[in-house]
Amino acid sequence: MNDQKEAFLIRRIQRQGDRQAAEELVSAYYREIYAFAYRQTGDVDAAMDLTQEIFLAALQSIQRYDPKRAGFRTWLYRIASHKLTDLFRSPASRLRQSTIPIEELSLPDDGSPEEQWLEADQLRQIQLRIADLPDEIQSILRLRFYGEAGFRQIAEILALPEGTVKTKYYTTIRMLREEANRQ
Amino acid sequence: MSVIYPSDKQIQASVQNICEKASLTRRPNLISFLRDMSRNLGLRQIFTGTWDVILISCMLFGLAAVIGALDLRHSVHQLQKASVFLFAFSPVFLFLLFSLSLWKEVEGTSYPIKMTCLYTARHLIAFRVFCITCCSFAVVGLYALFLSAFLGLPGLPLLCVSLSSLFLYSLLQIQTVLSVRSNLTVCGVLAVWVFGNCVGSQLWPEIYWELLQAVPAAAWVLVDLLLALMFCNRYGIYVRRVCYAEGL
Repeated sequence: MNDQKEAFLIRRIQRQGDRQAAEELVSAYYREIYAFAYRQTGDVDAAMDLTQEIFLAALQSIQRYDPKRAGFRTWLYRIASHKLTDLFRSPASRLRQSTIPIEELSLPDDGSPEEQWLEADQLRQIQLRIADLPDEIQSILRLRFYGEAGFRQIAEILALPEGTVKTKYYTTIRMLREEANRQ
Repeated sequence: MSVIYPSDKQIQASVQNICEKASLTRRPNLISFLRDMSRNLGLRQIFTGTWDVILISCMLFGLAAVIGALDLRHSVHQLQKASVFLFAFSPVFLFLLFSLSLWKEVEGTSYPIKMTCLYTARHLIAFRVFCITCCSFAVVGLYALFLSAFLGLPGLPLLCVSLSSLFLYSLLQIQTVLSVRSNLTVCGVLAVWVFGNCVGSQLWPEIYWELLQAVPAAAWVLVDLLLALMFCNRYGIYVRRVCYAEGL
C-alpha cells in the first residue's frame, strides 16, 4: 500500500468512521503485525489474539493519531510494543509461558522434533528473561529480535534518540551474555 | 524462526471481528460539537456561576467605553482617533470575560459537580470560549455602531476595524490556548497583548493609523472574513483536541 492510499484510508476512518477503509487498512498490516506477535508467542492462537488486541487498540485511538508526528506503521509498532510488554508482564502470561506443554505449541513442519523442541524451549527462556527487564529495554529487544527493526526505526517507534537505543541494546546484550556465561 | 500464518479465511474473519468490535465513530466537527453542547447542557447553564465575572467585565468595559467616547467627542481627527481607539480597545471585553471566568473556574471547588457525566471541564471551557467570543463580538459591534452614531462618523469602517481587531485577538487567544498548557501563561500572554496594544495606541497613534490605512476600506470586510475563517479553523482543532487528547 502506498503512502497516499494509506493517508486517504486513515482520513476516511478519522472523519467518517468508515468501516470499509478500516478493513482495508487492517488487512494491509495484519500479516506483518501477526508475524511480530507470533515470533514472541510461538503460538497461532495467542498471536491471533494479540494481533486482534493491537489493531483494536489502534482503531479505538485512531482519532488521536497525528500523521505529522509519526508514520502509521511506526505508530502501530509502538502500540504493539506496549501491548506485548503488558502481556508478558502479567503473571497469567508468564505462568502460561513456563507451563505450556510442547504439544500445544504450533511449530513449523520443517526440522526434526528435537530441533523444534529446542527452538520452543529457547524462545520460552528468552521470553522469561526479557520479561524481567525494564519496559523500555523490553521494547527495544522485542522490536530488534522479533520485529527485525533497525535502530533508527526503533528510535522512531519509541521516540528515543538513536544513540540511546544503541547504547541500551548493546549494554543489555552484554549483560545477558555475561549471565549466560556464568550459568 | 519461521512463522505459521493463519489461512486467508481466518485472517478475513479476524479483520472483520476487529472492525466490528472497534465500533468506529465519526469525528465530531465544530458544528456538531456546538450543537450537542447547547442541546445537552442548555444555554442557560453555560454561564452558571459566572454572573459576577460578567458584571465586573461589563462595568470595567462600560466605564472605559464611556470615557473613550467622551474624550473622542471633543478631539480633532475624529475618524482617525476613533479607528485607532477601537482597534486597540475592542479586545478588552473579551480579555476580561475570558481571563476572569478561567480564573474563577480554576479557583472554584464546586466546578466538577456542575458537570454532567457526558462532559469534562475542558469540554465546557471550550464551549464557553466560543460563547464568550460571540458575546464579545455582539457587545463590541454595538459599541462601534454607537460610537459612530454618537460622533456622527461612518459606521461600516469603524465596525470593520473593530471586528478585525477582535478577530485578530481571538485568533491569538485560541493559538495561545493550543500552544500553552498553563492557564496562567495563556492569561499572561493575552494581558501583555491587550495592555501593549492600549498603551501603544496612546503613545504612537500615528503608527496605528498608518497601519490601519494600509488596508483599503473596501478590503476590511475581506480581512474580517479571512480572520473569521482562520479563527474557526483553529477553534475546530481546539475542539478536536478537547474531545480526543488527554489534556490540553
